[in-house]
Amino acid sequence: MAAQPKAPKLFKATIPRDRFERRILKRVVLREERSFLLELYALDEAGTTYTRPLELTADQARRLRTIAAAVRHNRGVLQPVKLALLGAVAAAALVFVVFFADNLIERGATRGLESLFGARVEFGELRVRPLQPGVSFGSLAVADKNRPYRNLFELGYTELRFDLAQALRGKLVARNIETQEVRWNTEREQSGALPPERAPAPPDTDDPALEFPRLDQLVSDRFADIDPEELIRSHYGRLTTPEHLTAFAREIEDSIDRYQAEIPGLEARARSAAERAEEVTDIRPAELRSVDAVRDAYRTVERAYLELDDGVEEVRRIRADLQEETQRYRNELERTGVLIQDDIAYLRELVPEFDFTDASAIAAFVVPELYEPLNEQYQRIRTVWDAIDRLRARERPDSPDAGRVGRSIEYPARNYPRVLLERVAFSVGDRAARDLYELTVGAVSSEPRLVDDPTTAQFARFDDEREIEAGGVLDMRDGSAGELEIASKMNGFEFSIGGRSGIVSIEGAKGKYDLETDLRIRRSGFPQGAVRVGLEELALEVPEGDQIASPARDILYSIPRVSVDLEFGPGGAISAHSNLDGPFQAELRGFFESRRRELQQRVGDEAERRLQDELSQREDQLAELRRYREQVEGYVARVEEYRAEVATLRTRLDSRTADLEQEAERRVRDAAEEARREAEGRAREEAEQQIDRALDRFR
Amino acid sequence: MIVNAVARVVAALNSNRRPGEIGAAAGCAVALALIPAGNLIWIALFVALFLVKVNLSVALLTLAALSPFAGLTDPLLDSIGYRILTVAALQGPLTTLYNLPIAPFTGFNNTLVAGGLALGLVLWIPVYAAARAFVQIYRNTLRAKIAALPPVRWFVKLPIVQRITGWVRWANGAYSRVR
Repeated sequence: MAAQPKAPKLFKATIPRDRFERRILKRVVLREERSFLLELYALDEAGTTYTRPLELTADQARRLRTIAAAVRHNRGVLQPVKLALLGAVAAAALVFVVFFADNLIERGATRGLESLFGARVEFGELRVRPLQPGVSFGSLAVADKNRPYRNLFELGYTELRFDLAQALRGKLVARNIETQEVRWNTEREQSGALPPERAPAPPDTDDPALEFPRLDQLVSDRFADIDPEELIRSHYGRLTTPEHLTAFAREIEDSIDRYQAEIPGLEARARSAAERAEEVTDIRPAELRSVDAVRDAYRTVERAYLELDDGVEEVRRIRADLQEETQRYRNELERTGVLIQDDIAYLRELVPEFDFTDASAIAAFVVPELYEPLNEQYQRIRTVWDAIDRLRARERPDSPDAGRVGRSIEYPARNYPRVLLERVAFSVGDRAARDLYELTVGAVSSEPRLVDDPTTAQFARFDDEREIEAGGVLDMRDGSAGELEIASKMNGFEFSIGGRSGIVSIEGAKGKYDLETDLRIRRSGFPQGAVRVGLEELALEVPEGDQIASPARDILYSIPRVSVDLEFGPGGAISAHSNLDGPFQAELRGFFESRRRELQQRVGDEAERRLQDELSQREDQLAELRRYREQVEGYVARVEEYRAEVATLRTRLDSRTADLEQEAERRVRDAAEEARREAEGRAREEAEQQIDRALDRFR
Repeated sequence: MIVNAVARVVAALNSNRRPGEIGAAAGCAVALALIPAGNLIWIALFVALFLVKVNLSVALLTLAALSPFAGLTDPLLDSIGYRILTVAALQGPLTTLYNLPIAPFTGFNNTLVAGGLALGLVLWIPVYAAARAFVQIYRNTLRAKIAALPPVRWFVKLPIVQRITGWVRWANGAYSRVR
């Protein structure tokens, strides 16, 4: 037998009219379902109860179940199951916070501080106190990013209380921070450097202000850095001699080249002269029997003579040129000697004087030891400043939606920055009892414009002998200069330094010092202000026989307190003064004058050596030119000799000609006399014959 | 996903649920679309959707459909929001509200948020009424006519639609049993 279909509890066989109409029928919204119900249930005659048949079909029962579910769903507007689920989720979140918040907050705070300080941060036993609200931790160590094995600072047990109202507004406003111990510059066992993927990007700048101004510029031993060879090399282009010698060398080389080219021609000419001379010297005037033969020979000799004469003239001209050039070069070389002396004088003047007009003489002794501690403090300050900057960089304007940005209307309100440490104070001991350790930091915020006061920090430490007081103000609010002003004072500290070499070499020194700083530091650029150092109870160990250290020690011992004032100007310019400048300068001046003279001598010697080297090269060239001249002289002598031989021959030919002409004249004269006598004889004979004939005729 | 959502909307239109659930879902979706996301007001309204009896499918589908065009109303919302936020009479209460904890997370002082909220609230009633009326008209007159159309009959008989309808029925049944 099949089971009787069962109706849901909601749909009992009889239902009061009021319940049926108000609790059921009203919540059935589909017309056909309502019709179904009204067909199934009938109102009794009294009109007080709806009744249905006791037995239902399976289809009726299934439909009633569906309607019952719909009736239950259509009751009320809230979803109790989902509300309960939400409550459960909230409870689970609360439980999660209770059990895991410490770890979560510690991790978040660690990462946050690491990104601020750029180095490892370690919390010990961090506890979240959600009801205060606040946080406490047993210890906090923040590593120094510049020195991974040192901590920037360490805190002991610390409690932070936040402003609950502001915390609910998303602002981390620390009203009070109580710490039991503050230490800084402590040692670490493990490196505090962050792994590369978590390390903040290094600053993309070559800002000189990232380092404290180098103090050694004040007192550097200028002479120690001077290398005579380097000095000469760097100024060689400005010297007169090298330029002069270079031009001179070119001229001599040109001359050598020219005469080198002419020598073969001269040689050929001399050879030709010799041959020519040899040709004519074969002529034997005495063997010439006729005037015509002599005259022919004479003409030959005369031509040879004229050629040789031309050769002599040319060789003499070249010799004269060579002599003139050689002499001129000789004169130039002599003048070069004067130039060398001028250049040496110029180089010697380049050796600077040890000038104390801008720097303190005593600073030469004190300042080198100051750079490290001052730069160390400066780097620490910059690290904290970087952290504050990064905190500021995280302040972002609230935006409801990245794509849809409206305008935010601001109403009068005490608007806090996202992160604000209103005041951090730590104090142990009593100033009157000279046992005090005190630190106060105020108004560290991610948005300085929202805070009335600038960021401040004061530190004081007193014990029986020593005092440190320091105060800093960092005003990053709108309209401010954005400067960090730091004033500090340290008294009664002892120092002890080992040996060091420098202007004043020492084997060791100790004493007491006090330090006052009054500096203004900008985000970019060098700090400006003053540093005052006082030294007392000095004890110096200096090398025996040191020319400067011993007198310096005596001067330092001459007064009970040495004070040095350093002034830091714009662009890293530094000036220094001390109360011992006068006597110290006098002592140092004599010492450094002698060093300067020594250095000048070295520079002069080196310069002379180099210039004389160059000069000797020119001398060698000139010697070569002189050799050419001697060669040319030889040619001149040879050609002249040949010409003289030919001239002699010519003279002899002249004489032979004369002889032959005299003889011919004599012969002619004799022949003429003979002819005359013969003619006279014939004439006389003729005349006598005529006379005879005349006489004959007469007769 | 979209087919599922549409099927669920169709199922909701035809189920034995109050028309007001669909009307409220549409009204809330319009308000959520107008208000820029990312602030506590939007998140609270969105969470509230899950805690009250509104049809989530209709709400989410309407929100998804309207959100891409919400930016077109920004000039109007900015103007409305600015006027509301700068009404002299409201400066006192708004300043008080502004100084309350958690208030910054609501972004109420943003012109788009304020304008979106105001316009969303104003539009909620007509949207609710219109959607409700539409559901009633649909159920009373249109449903039978639409159901009789051949394409609809073909669609309803599709296996995937059958399967989705089965899931919806099963889910509703399970939900009812849990309750």
